[in-house]
Amino acid sequence: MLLKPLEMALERALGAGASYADARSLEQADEGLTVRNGRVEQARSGSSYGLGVRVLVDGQWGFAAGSAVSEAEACRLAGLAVEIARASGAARKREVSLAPAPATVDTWESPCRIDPWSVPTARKVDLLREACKAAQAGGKDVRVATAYMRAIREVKTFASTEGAHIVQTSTITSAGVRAVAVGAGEMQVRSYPGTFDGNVRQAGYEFVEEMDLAASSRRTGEEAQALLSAEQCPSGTMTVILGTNQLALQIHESCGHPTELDRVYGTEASFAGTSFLPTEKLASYRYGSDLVNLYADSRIPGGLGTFGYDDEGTPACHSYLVKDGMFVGYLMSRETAHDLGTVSNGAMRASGWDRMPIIRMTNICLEPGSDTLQSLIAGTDDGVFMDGIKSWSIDDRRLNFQFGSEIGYRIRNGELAEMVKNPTYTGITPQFWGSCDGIAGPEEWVLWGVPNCGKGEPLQIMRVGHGTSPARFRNVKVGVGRW
Amino acid sequence: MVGKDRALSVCEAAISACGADAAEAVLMLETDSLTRFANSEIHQNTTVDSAELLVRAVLGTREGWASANQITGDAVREAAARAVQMARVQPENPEAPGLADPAEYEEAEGYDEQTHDFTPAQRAQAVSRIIRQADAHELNASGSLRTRAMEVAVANSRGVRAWARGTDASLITVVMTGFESDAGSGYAEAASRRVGDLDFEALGATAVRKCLAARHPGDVEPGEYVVVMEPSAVATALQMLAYMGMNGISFIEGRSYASGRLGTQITSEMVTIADDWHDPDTSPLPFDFEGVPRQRVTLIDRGIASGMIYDRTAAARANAQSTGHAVPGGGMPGGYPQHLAMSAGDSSIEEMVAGTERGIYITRFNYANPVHPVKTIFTGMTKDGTFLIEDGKIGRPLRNLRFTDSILGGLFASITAISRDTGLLPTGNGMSIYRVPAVRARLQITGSTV
Repeated sequence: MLLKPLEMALERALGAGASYADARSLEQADEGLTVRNGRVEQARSGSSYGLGVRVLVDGQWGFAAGSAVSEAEACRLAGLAVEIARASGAARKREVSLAPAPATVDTWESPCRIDPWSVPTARKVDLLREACKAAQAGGKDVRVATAYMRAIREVKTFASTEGAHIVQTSTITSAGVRAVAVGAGEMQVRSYPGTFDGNVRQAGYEFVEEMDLAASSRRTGEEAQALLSAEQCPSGTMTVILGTNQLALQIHESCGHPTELDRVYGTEASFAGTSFLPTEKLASYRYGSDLVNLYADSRIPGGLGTFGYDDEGTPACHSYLVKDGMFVGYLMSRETAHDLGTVSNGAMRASGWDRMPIIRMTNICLEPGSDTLQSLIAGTDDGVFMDGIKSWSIDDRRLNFQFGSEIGYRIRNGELAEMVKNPTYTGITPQFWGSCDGIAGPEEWVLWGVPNCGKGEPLQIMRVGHGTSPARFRNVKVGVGRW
Repeated sequence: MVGKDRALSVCEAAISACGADAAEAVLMLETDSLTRFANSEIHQNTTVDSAELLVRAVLGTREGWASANQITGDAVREAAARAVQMARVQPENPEAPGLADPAEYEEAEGYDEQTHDFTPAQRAQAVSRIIRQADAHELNASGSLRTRAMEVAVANSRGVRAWARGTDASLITVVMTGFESDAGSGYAEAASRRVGDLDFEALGATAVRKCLAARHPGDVEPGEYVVVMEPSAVATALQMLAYMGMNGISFIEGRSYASGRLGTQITSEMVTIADDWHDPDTSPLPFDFEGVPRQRVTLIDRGIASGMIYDRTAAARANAQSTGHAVPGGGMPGGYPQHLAMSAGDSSIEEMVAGTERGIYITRFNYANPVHPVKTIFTGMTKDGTFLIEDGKIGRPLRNLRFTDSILGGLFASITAISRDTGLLPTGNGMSIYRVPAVRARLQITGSTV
């Protein structure tokens, strides 16, 4: 994308009365392959291209976006954004102010060793068919085995009336396999490596090769088959050890979302919800046990929440959200950072050219501890190990949650025992994190990509990252509901 | 919006450019305008014009898909070439159903000029009518007003030529006393294909009234309760049911509530659920995204599993006919219902409450998700107006409650009353609105927020 249409849009916005404007174009190519029970269910190639213009007029926001990119269209969008911002003034209570940000001129590119488009599609199809076959061989009741792969390349150009000019190129690769076993009114699912698109990384095809998809698929099918005849997860209060895929979701829902400062300030109240972490609690509220350190880091190589600059041009950074169990920080935009009396830590992101940026997670991670999964299990007399995201729900302030995992194992007297199906657990966020008494070390720390975080109206589906090691939680209510 | 001739000519150009054994093109155009308000002021105000061209190229039994969001000649040709390339690199697929045959479509007019032309200033005025009511009580209003105009064209090399346009408008509002744990909140929502049908004053009044009544909520013990659920809550349950099992391929593979149970009683005989695009108040669309005429399908008839929806892929596997429920781009093989309606009953919300000795009144559900699709178990929270019902009257407000229950085996199986009046509720999807009543049933409450 040439900068010219963006510059024209900014000039037009200023001329029409904007005090600030930014323009962001996005060019995206993607290729997706899905093989189901050995047959290609979908082979798809996508392309999109568009421009969004955001303006401040009399302290009010306006945004317009379109896919027909030309200098004339860029100017039309800028004029429309100004008209929309003026209309916003009809219900004005305050004027938006922005915390300062550097006017950076830079380029950034995510790591990519093997260009996914350089790998023949037929070779990818063969790998997926092999993975399907292996998963189906996992059991006679595996009715559906699906293997999938996707590559996305984005080139994003950002310019602002403050002088920022930033071009960022990102390559995103994902792959995985899912086995569904069905029998006698029961259905069980296992996924590899994880539930959401397998796993997703800002990387090239080397990420797929590292997964060893075909070799891992048989076990995925075997576990789905075994779950059909497994005992139902018991109900009661006991110790829970979460694997990294499940814990990534727990971090996402119970730490990532409530630390979004726009939720705290109420601007998601009617849709995504608010937060139990108002600004009065900053630096004085115990979120979890002393072991719990949670941070946002948009610089982790390969993370789905990694970038050079966010969609306001704020540089990527690391910042703590929870330190030694205390709540210490938020995810911020320039507007909310100003209102808090600080500067942004770069969490403004838009899901596409057609969306206004809002505060989103970057890579929200749990710092590793000093245990191992083995030592966590050895220190548990009565509990359940759960992993594989299956079901999730949490209240609008992010307190009462209930999650379900694909697979569970009972823990008795310090050892893993029988497999259990439909494991669920529920709790209240600060009580749950307060009960954390063990976190495995850096050797078991896994970076997960979550490609489907929904927030905002119109809905924005965002890619975010979560890194964690397995962790243990005491006195958790498991096995919710009637089965 | 480009009109029927231009939209179909873009599709025809894509089909021609494929030079494949067969080809299909779908063009979707949308202008999506949304005014979002929070803390009783507008904080996001957007208009987005978008286009999506989906091309399916068929070589023998191999199918390749490509998409583009530009409709210039070069972009169309380039998308066609990519679709052919994606078809070329895969093995033959004997299960591929091929493309639809030409068909006659029923007339439908889902387009409303006023909705299409609704300006940012008009949206701001409408929103201000809600904010003013909240201001009068020193309450905090948030929500969104959305208007959309959409155009869909479907064509294929076998002669299918389908085109429709539509509009929809929806408003949701949450009015709150604050964000703390004992705050009160109230909710109202409505949808129509005509923005003129939305009564902003009444919606604001409903949310304010409910918010004032919901201040300082208390607790209730977990357990099974009689519940009176407003249409918003029923719509969420219906949406979950659709997601968990109203899909032809899930049905064939034993993953749907209806698998192996057609013709059997699966829930209360008071429950009839159909997918019917003919409702003139929703957003009618007479064909699906394969160009197949959309049929009315009764999925549950007086409690008996009576039907299933299919796209062409599912229909071929089930040795059945497509019911015209394909989604764009083969995104959800098996199909999805866009116009669900639950049949009305003969009661009213007031009568349901009056007939309840002890129970819970639920305005809506929040963050509901499936727990076990075959058993139709779902979980979620109540929100924005949960009250205890005592001695036939709405009593003290309750904190948001967690429920975990089976939709068919628990909630819908225990229905004892359904309202005469129904509400039109937005689903968030284009040209898709549900019509649902209020119900009285039983629901398993498994927890509460704090």
